[in-house]
Amino acid sequence: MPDHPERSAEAKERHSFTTLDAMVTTSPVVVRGTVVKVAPGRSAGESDADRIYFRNVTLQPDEVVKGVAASEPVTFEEEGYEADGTGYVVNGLRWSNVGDQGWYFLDRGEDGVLFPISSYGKFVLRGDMRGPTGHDPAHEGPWIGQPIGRPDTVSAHVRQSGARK
Amino acid sequence: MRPGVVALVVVLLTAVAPPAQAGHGSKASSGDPDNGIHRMDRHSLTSLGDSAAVRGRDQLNRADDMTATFEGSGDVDIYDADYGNTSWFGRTSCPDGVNWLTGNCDVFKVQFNTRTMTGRSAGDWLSLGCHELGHTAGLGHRAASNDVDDNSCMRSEIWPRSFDGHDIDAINAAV
Ligand SMILES: [Zn+2]
Repeated sequence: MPDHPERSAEAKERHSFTTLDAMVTTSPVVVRGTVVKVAPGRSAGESDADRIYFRNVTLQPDEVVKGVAASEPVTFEEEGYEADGTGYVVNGLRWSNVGDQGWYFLDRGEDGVLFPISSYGKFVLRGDMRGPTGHDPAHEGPWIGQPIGRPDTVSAHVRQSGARK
Repeated sequence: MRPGVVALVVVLLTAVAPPAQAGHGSKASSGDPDNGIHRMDRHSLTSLGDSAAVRGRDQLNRADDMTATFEGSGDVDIYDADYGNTSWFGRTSCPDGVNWLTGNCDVFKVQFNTRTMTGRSAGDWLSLGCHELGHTAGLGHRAASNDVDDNSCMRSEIWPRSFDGHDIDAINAAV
């Protein structure tokens, strides 16, 4: 499998947040963590032609705002690989690399599987590409108006949103 | 791969998705069509998936410069399946890659996720077909700020079933 994505898929997403507060409130899991492992995950599709393959990303939590135990590693799914193994991202949701540290805003399927709740559902604090993921975080989505160049302030805002009910 | 190379790849990936312009939608990162004829293949679709594909074809044909047909194949492959719990209802990609020089895609792939669409109305499926087939005409997403009358199927958070005038103009400009 390749170690970087070469393609970009467009997707109609289930959530289109306009504020960080809304994304924190809606996400079942909000955690700051460090990526300790990335491994091939499940595949889905009805034929070889439409098959997609997922990546399983394991985080060691550094700080839990909601949804998981602080002591246990957290594994979530990210996309992905096309049928022929070519790597892709969805709506600019960058791949996770071992050693990345950041905020992860995760949804949970009825089968218990965790996955980023939105293409904007990741904020990298330490890694190759810091800041929010997604196609255009400066102009659309939950990071508009957030001081994305000041990660400590962003972290404070995530905690504040998590503390509100 | 060295971190610098990874960063470069990410920068290049980002470069194919220019930011939204005020008053218009953005361009799709999956590329523009390479000509004005879409020969589209429906691959064993469910009845709802088929209705979505038909809606997308009919909406594409509203653009004077675009002809979309299920006769023949080779431009758009359309699938639906249970892709599991994903953050998306449908996706459009260019699996063989967008041409660096032209920004065009030779063969698009459209996938509707029957799992995440479970429980949504027949009308929502029509909207999804319009949306994803819109990406195969080079359309990116519209936002509330540039679709104030809420009538473009290129929105993500609402379910209009048609292109609006801006979308039609953008399709004609792309082909
Ligand atoms: Zn879309």
